Amino acid sequence: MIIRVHCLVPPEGPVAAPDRLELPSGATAGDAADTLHVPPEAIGTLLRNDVPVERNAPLAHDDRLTIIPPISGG
Amino acid sequence: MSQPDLGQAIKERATAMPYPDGTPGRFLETAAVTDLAQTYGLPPKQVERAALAADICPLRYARNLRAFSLAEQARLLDASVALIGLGGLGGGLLEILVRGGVGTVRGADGDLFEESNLNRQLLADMAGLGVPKARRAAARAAAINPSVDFQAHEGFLDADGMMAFLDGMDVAVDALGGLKDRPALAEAARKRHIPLVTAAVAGYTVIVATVLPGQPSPVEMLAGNAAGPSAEEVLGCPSPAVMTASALQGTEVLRLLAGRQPALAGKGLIIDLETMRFDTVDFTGASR
Repeated sequence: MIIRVHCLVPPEGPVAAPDRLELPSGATAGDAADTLHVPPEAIGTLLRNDVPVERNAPLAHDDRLTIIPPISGG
Repeated sequence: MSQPDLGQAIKERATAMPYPDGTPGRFLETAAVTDLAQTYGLPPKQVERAALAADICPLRYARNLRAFSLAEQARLLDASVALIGLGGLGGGLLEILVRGGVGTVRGADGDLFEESNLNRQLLADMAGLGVPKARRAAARAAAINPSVDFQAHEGFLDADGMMAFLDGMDVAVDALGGLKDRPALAEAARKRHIPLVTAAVAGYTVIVATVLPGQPSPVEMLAGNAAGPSAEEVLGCPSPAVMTASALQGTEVLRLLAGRQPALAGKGLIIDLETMRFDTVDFTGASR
């Protein structure tokens, strides 16, 4: 399956996260973050189709995953 | 000779002139507000309020119209808001609320301005380094709009302090930096049954949300497990992100105080300024 990705966590390397990601069937939100090399401690919230989910939430083809860093500055 | 009543005196001092769109209007200049306040021994806010009741617009609010009606402008003057934090978010918010004509603004911050604030905090300047943020905020509010009753609290608030600070307020605004005090503020707003308008920034990521009583606060959820350094410590807190956040919070606060429906109730507006992408997220359906 292919999901859409919006990763607001800056990449550790020079390459930005892709807009789309191919994953095996049954992959979870956490699997997608791991595939993108985003470490768990760099994640504040995972959104599946604009709804907050846990890492173990299953993904489906064409889902949109948003990865947001922990955010509290002002 | 006896003094005319205030309403009559306001009508005599009002000036007829067109709004920018050509519509005829009647306006009261700030000098007249000040004179009448002194003559009648009233706070200037009450003079402005009486003018609005007579369909006369204090000239300083002329360009708020028609984004706000005269009746909504009157509601703003009658309204009260608690602003917790007078740094990056709070400085921008103070500017918006005071210029907008919110009648009572109660602001709290226990910090002093320091050099690292200069990149983003509107109230921070060279002359004010080492000065309490709440004191600078009071001076700024008085310099812009003497009709606003700005109540400064030079100190940090614990959970009990938050409860006391929100007493009698219509809306609470979370302009805090960091995560430490945000849960206590969210809890105090819940207990006071008032809306909380919240925002947070890390790098070029911004979130703004409105929490109605009984709803979860998205900022607590977005903070994650927060075991390591916070994202803003890694990604910074740049001026465009902070000013964007405070402008959006200010818009939402003015909507609420004017009696309109909030645009972000139960939702978070998540902004990626790096790509100029804006997404609205529904937090009431959170599956966590």
